[in-house]
Amino acid sequence: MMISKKDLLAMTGISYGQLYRWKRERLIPEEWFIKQSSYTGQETFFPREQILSRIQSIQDMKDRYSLEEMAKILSPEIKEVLVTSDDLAELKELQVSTLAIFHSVMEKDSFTPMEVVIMVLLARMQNEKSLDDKQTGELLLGIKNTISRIRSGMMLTLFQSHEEYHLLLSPEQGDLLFDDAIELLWSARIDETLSTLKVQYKGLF
Amino acid sequence: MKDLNFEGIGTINSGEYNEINCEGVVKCKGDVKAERIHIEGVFSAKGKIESKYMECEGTGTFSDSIRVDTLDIEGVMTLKENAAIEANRITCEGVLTSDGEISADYFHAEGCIKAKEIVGDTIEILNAKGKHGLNGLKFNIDLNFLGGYKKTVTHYVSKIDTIEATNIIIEGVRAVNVNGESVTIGPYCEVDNVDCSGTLKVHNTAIVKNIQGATEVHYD
Repeated sequence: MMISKKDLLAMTGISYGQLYRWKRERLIPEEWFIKQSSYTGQETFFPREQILSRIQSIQDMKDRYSLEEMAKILSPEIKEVLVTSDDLAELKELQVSTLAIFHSVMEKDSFTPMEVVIMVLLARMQNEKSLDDKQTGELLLGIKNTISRIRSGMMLTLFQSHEEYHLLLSPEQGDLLFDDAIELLWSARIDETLSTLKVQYKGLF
Repeated sequence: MKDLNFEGIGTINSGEYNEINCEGVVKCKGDVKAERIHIEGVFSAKGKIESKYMECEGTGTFSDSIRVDTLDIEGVMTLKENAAIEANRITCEGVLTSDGEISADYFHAEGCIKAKEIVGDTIEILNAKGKHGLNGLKFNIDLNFLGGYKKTVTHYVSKIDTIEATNIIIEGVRAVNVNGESVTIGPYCEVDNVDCSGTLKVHNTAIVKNIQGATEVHYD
């Protein structure tokens, strides 16, 4: 779903100057400015949920961080480091059972930052959709070899087909249209979770 | 980082430099980062330009984006192939032509602008008291001869498709869309559409076809 620039400014109370300043500082991705034809020539639209969430994040952070720091936090770029088991113990989003599933399925003790993002998302999904450890482990096994191919602007979706759960990694923009036998159960934007983790655990990401 | 000084003909490869001074004819073949770029001669760039300060007193032609803190234009600057400018502050007393988006917190022009889109926080384009021969005059020439044929010829100095900013003051500008919070359409402007979320002022010599959203409209 899209929102026009005019409606966005009216809804959030930000000015044209702030919007364009945040775009120049890379706090708002250029690809979110989508130009469409209108009777006056062209009008700019944004992906509604993403832009509203991003503006909220910027407004929450702007008194604590400089524009440069915010750009780093909100950027989809992540450090090329390995997160150890000791580091993971600090993440309050992860339960011991989730960590055990990850150690078992991934067959290793240290993880890339993106693997940790997926770990946090799966923990949240498990909790919200009341999945058991076995189901969560099977879902992780299904995307184990795909995690390294996750790029900026993707989302993770859980769907159910004939009582079986599956995960889908897809671009954020655009609708997912399935037949009636498939039920969408849960979805989350990966960049958004990454930004949240960057704010909370500055050293790790 | 080293300085580059050109007084004859030269070429710059991509790289990081402290200061680039162009007083001759210089071609820039790749992406360049510099603390300061000063153009007094003829400068053309194929790659991206990033600099804290850039001054164009000569002729600059750019085919890729420019990202600067401050840009001062006193010569002729041309951006081709939708190349964009991003800056905190732009002042122009010369000529600026651009097919792409010009985005600046503060944009102040007393020269001649031909651009597709200028956006930012404060945009001032003041051509009615300009320094470039036209003096912001609007010429109304009645050709009332040859069987009563009559035609009015209008002259403005700058032509911009879209101007969008929190605060806008324009004089001697032809624009299709002007969108802002506080908007002043000054002398000799011709604007098709104004969308203003605050106060709009329109000079009596200006022509504005459509007005949307203004809470207050003042006609001088």
